Amino acid sequence: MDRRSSWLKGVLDLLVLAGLTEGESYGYALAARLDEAGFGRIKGGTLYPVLNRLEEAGLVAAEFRAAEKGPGRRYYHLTDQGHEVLAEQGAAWLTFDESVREVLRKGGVR
Amino acid sequence: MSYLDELATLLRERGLSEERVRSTSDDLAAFLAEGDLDPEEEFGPLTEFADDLMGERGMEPDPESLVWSADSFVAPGRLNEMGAQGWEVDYVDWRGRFVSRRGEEPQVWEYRQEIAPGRRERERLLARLAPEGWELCGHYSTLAYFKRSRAALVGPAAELDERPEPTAKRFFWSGRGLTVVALCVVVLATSLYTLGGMLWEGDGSDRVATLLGAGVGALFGLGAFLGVFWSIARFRNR
Repeated sequence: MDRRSSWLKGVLDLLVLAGLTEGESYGYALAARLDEAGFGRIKGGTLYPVLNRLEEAGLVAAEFRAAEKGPGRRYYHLTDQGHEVLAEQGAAWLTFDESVREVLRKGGVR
Repeated sequence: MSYLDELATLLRERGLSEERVRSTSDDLAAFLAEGDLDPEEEFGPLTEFADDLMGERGMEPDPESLVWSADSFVAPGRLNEMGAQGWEVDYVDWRGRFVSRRGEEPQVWEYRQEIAPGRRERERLLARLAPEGWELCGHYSTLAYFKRSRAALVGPAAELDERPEPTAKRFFWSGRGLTVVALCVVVLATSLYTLGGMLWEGDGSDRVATLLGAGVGALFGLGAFLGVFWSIARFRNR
C-alpha cells in the first residue's frame, strides 16, 4: 500500500461524512466529489464497504430509490449521530494534522 | 454468470436479506453504468468484496487490551518498553493503572511522565509538548502522562512486524518504590497508633481538640506535599 492510500484509509470515512453535510448523495456522486477535491478516483471496492460501515454504525442512513430508467440507487444522508461524530472526529483530525505540520515545519519541510 | 450475479449469490450465502441483495446489486450496477466501469477492476476480487460489504472489517476482533501499572520510578522506562511492543495507553484509571490496547497493525508509541499537579499545569505542559506531537493520555496524583506515535516522526516505518506476547507480570515495582511505600505505611501506622492512643486517654473536649489538630495537621501535610510538587513542576515546566 503506498503512503497516500494509507493516509486516505485513515480519513476516508470522515471525508464521506463531510461530503454528505450539504445534503443526500449516492455512491458515484460521492466518489466523483472526492476525485474533484484532489483525492483521485476512489474505487467502488473501497467506497462501498466504508458506506456500509457508516450505515451499520448509524452515522448515515440510506434509502433505496428505484429509477424510471436503469437500475435504482441507494441515497445516503447524515444522521444526527453522524453530524456529531464528524464534528468530534474532524476536530481530532485537524489537531493531529496541525501537530504533523508543526513537526514537519521544524524539520525544514516547506 | 456476471460479476454482480455472482456477488449477489455470495451475499445471500453470507446471510444478507433478499431485499438488501437486490438493492445492493442495483446500486452497484448504477455505479458501474454511470462511469462505464469494469466491475472486476472497480470492486476487486469477488469474495473479498463480498466480505467487505458484509462488514467483516467492522467485525474485526477487538484490539488486544492490557491493564498494568508501575511505580513512578520505573513507569517511564516500562511505558516506553510497552510502547515499543505496540501498546498504546488509552487512559490512566483512578487506581493509576495504564489501560492500553494494541490494534491489528501495531505501531511504536513513545511516552513521557511529567510532574504536573492540577489541570492548569497539565494544560501548560500540553501546550509546550503538543508541537512535538505529544498528547496527554492520562494523569494520576501529581503526575501526567504523554504519548506520541512514532509514526508522527518516521511514518510507516513505525509499524511493527512482530507483536511480542506481553509478560504475565502486571505490576512493576522498583526498589525505591517499595522503600517509599514501606515508609508511608510506617508513618501512617505510627500516626494512627498515636492518634488512637491520644483519643483513648483524653476526655471529650480533648478528643475534639485532638481530632481537629489531626485534621489541620493532615491538611497542612497535604498542602506541603502538593506545594513541593507544584514548585518542582513550575520550575521544570517553564
